[in-house]
Amino acid sequence: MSDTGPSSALDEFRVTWKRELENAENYEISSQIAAENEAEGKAEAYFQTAVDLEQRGKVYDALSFYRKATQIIPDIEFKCYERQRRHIEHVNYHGMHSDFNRQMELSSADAQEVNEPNIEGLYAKFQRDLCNDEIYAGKLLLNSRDANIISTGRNIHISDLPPEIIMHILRWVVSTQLDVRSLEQFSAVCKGFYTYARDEELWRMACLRVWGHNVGVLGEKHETWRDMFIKRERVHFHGCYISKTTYLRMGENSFQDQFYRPIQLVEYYRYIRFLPNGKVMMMTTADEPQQGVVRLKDVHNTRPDVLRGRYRLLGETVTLVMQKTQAKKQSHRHRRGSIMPADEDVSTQYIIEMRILSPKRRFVQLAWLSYTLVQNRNKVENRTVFDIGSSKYPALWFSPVKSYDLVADAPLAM
Amino acid sequence: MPNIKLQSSDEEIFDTDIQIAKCSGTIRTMLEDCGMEEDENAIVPLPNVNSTILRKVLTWANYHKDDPQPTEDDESKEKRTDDITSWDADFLKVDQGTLFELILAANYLDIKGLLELTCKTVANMIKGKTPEDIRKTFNIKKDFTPAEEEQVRKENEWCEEK
Repeated sequence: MSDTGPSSALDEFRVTWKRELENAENYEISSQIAAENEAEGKAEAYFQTAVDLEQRGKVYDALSFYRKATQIIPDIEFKCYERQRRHIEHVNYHGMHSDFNRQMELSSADAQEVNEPNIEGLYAKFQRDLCNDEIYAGKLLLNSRDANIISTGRNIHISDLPPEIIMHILRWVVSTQLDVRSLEQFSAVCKGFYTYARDEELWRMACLRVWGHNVGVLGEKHETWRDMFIKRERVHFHGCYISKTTYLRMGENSFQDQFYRPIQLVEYYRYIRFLPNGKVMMMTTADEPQQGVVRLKDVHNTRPDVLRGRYRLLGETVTLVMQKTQAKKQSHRHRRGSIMPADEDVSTQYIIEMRILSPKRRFVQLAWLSYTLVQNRNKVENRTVFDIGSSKYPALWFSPVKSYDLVADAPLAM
Repeated sequence: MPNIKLQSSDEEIFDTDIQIAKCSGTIRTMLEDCGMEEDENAIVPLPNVNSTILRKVLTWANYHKDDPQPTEDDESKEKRTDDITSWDADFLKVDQGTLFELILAANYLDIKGLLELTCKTVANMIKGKTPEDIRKTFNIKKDFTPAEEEQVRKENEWCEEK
């Protein structure tokens, strides 16, 4: 007993000691891994912030974040890229799966279409096609010029421009006036232009410009920003909404002839033009559309007959708040001994609510919901609500006006 | 005003007013970071720009040297109606290859005004055009299969005028 006692105790001690050591080692390793993971997460967060900043054009702010990220993990860019690629491949895989299903359906429906039935996921397909270096040689477009024709100079082709330049040109194409139709035409040129024109950042900026703070996020309803831009209720910008009001008005009785009662036919048009920056112009005039639309062409005009203001989209209604365009106030005229009543206190606001309807084509009709006139005279508010049920307020229909968006004024930006 | 020597890719030397050269962000940074401003005989090499294009770029920079700096003010942006001036329009009456070379040079030299002008010019060549127009303008080969073209057309159908 006395012999085995100490030795077994010693053995026991050895065992626990070894176990402790191992545990400590394990702990060290696991804490090392945890620290690495943490560092990577941190670096990735920095990197993502930097990418976001750079995309918003804040290159200098982005640089400091890039620096922080690379200080923690020097090859963070590749790690992020690798992760993203894996993610995209994962998504693509699902996409291809449904493509495949489509193919099966199509082949049963139409045997001739078997070879090119890639209906879904054109974007992914074109990207794969463009990776074929034998055809595209690392570029995104093909030059249709005959290479055998000898020409002077370097003859740079549009495909020689770097992608960021093409994207910048596209921002000019869309411009602040949101000429997305030109962007869609551009996408139908070739596979390379298609992938450029489907760039989500462009479409996100376009959505931001339409809905502003209310733009929300992508989700089940809209899977892409392009989808949101196309389907969510909004107003059109490449023309104006027009309605024609016709009514009969009794004239004054004649003094001489009690039986003669003239009836006047009153006919006028209402024009509303929305601008992508939240501004709106409205005008009523007897001018036929051909002349009428021209009067709203100049965005900066201050004609007294044009009401100007702002609008906001909320669901399927659009709310307009407008004021009369006022010429610059004349200098105060003071009569000796008397003070002129303060004309400046008078202000009139026109508040209109309309529902956006899509008969046949999207968002081409605006139906009146309410029309209120708020007059403020010397701090007394006076509200007049118009009866919109009458025939004086027919729905407005959209009609495109070519001259409205021909000249880009500034590139699309945040 | 002191001058500075710029060297194009084909090794032509351009003796340039330093104020004009400095409208290029790239050259400005080079001068400031390398302390070349004091050295009269320093030569700034520009290996990405040939003499034809550099001459044009410097002509543009000389004409625009007194332009006010664009402000970041939002309100002034809204009121900007920067149509291309007739001088710029004349300046850009060049073949497409030269236009693209100017874009590349403006990008490399970091001359914002020239880059915006040239990009806008290309954008105006695209706006309001049909795909076939665009292909012809820029010599681009249609690489869609008929089925793909049809599919793209369907995707874009929503914005077609009827």
